[in-house]
Amino acid sequence: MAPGTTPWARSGPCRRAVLAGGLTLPLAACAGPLTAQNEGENDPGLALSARAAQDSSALLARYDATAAAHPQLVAQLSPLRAQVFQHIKAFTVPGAPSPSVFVSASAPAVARQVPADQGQALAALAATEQRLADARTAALQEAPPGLACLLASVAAAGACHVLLLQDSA
Amino acid sequence: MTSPPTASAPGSALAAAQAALAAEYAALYGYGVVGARVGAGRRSDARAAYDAHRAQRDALTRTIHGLHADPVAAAPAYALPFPVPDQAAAVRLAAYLEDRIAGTYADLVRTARGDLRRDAAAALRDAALRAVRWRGSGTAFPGLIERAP
Repeated sequence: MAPGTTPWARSGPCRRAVLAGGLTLPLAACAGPLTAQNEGENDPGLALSARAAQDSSALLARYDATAAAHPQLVAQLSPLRAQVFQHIKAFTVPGAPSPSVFVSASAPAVARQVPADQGQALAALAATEQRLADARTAALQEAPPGLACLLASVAAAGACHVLLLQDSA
Repeated sequence: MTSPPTASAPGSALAAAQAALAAEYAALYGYGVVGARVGAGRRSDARAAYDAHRAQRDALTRTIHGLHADPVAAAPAYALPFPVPDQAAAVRLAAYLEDRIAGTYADLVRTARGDLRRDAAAALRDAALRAVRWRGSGTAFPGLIERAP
């Protein structure tokens, strides 16, 4: 794969804006295009990214199974599920096998794991989010810079999901 | 013999740490405003956030000293990004401050290695969590402004 086509490389600098309206910060935009820094790092980055996409796909399957078992939770889970879907897209390496294959293959097994009690189902989903956020936080230590940034952001989003799921449990 | 860095090269972990420190100073100023306007019901949240940012400021100051550089100082004054006349605006400002802080820590994750990267990821997560508490909802990519919807 040519440099510049990795999903995290497309994002450019992690952060390119400064505080608007006067709470001005020094602009410490990330250094240059990620592609240049990623040269020679593509292999571990690609493997990590593919794994992250697969993990998010498994998480999405959990959301779907939980919503299927507890239809009254659909409205509450939908915004979080939508974010997980965005994470899959962000991690997905162009040309790699679609993570949805993984999801459909494992969906029945996932459905059997959803507790019948609604509160327990939310708690189980929160626990899954927490484990994944912890794993990503550990994995980002070995990741190329741009992917580390993306993993940290998605891990933070996962921690926020845990908070929101626990608040509603 | 190497001389200590007197300026932080753009894109370096030091530059990102300095930017995060400057953002923490701005957040401390901003939370002063939040605390004054947010109302009794959420004042303890503002106080807890203020304390957390003060701890982060101190940690970053130590980090930058450890990188043999002089930490940036607080600005003499800050302009608010929008008027904060009432409680609702104070909550918006708090969430705004956390979003911006998350952005600076995302930069630090990207540029740093080892313990500094790990700590930056934790700070990014904590800022995202505080933003959710203020706002009641989260975003898919905390700290990554270019991925914001």
